[in-house]
Amino acid sequence: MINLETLMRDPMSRRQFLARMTAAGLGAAAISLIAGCGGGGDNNNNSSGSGTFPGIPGSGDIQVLNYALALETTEADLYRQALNLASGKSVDTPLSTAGPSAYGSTYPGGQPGTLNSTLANIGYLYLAQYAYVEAAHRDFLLVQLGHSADTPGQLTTTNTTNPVLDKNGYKFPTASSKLSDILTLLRVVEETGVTAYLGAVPFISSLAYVQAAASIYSTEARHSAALNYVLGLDAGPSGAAGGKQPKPGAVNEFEYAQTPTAVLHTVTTTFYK
Amino acid sequence: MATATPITLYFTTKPSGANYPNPTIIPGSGDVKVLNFALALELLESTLYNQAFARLGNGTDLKGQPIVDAKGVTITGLNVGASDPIYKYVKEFGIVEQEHASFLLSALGGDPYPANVGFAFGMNDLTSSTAVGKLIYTAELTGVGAYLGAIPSFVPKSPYLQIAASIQGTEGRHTTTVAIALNALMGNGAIETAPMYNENHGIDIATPPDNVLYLGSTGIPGAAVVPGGSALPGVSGLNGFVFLVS
Repeated sequence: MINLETLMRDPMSRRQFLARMTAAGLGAAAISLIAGCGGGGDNNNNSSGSGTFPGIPGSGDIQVLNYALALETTEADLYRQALNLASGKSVDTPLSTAGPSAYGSTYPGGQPGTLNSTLANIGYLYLAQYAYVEAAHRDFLLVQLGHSADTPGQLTTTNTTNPVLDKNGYKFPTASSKLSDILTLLRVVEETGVTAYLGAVPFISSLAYVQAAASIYSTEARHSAALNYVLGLDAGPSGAAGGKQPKPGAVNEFEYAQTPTAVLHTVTTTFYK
Repeated sequence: MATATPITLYFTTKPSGANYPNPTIIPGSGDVKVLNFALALELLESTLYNQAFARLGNGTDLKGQPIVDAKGVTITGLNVGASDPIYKYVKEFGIVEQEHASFLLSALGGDPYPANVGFAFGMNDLTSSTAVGKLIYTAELTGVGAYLGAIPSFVPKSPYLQIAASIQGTEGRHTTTVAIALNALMGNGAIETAPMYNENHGIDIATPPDNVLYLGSTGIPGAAVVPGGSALPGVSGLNGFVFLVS
């Protein structure tokens, strides 16, 4: 067995590792993983707009967590807008302080789109529940980051205990009020979040931070699976443009990772005002 | 890798005479030890699905063969039918878990450890697809927490962190999909699809490896609450992962 602890430092071990992974049909993944890992030290750029996390403030692990904050802030606001759309409220309306139960347990609207009544009801239930969950993720990261918290997008709160809405933050890129259209868009948001977290893992030095990020990451995967179910899709993961897997070509077996650069391009061009 | 001590893994009620060894029974050190831990979980899960497929179907496993569990019990079929909400996913996810296990075996160099383990789930005591689904749900949810709990044991910036996480995400998807399928049988809201906003910040909870391996002797921490914010779905006799040296 190769001593993996020396793998990254010892060229001979690395060659043996690659040979073994190639023999197992995993060569491409091994190469990309080693390249990604070896490049993990190059994320010490600042917010100059270039580097591994273009536009994300901070350096090192703080920058990675601010990357997560940028994602969660975006997700939380998109969910808030989506819930308003689905429940017939103005998109600027803050989340009810009474929690998701304030929105009812069944779909109140008349535009289910392609969903039957059963799927519309559970889809609406998940929409309300996850809107609050994503806000909780955002607030969790804000607390973890403390004074280091910063994001290129608009924060929708400035105080986690007394949220202040910034309605100019993000655009929900559909005018459709059909529930199936709303959930289809949120599915893309969630799936992108999954690939974003997985792609960020090689750049995190602290295992404690890896664990914190992974604790959020798997809930994004769970949300994705739930929305896939409602929309009649496979549980996934079902692929991502430019994404990479440990075992390329595998279907539904391993999550995909995307580079922070690719994710940030998608997020800023699609959802930022 | 050196020849491993043969072990038998049970998943249900504490077997008579079972002891609960220190998790050092998982061989290796550093990343290798973590991968062996992950392999044990994946073998458990893939075997669970294989036995569940036989139980919900006609008694034959995913390869169409009769199946006997680690206690020597031949699994009999409930013949629930192809339209059953749980049965639909047992085959699909069972194949995925087999792929996870074979991938980890390859990454570890194809060494047989712990391929010489057996699993017993008391499958014939589960008399409905709901009961089988609850067991699968709990195993998958435990898997999510186990992968999270293993992260601190990796070497920092190990390439295997990303690989393990890529599996962890699918465990999360399986957990949620089976929860929804169970809710279709039990009523919406019976089981949460993911942690709620007011439960641990809406994020999944890590279960340290020792706790995963010792759930059998200590019970589920927090009484009826499983990490992840979902109510333990009341599988009779379920004690978690019990590792028994044979």
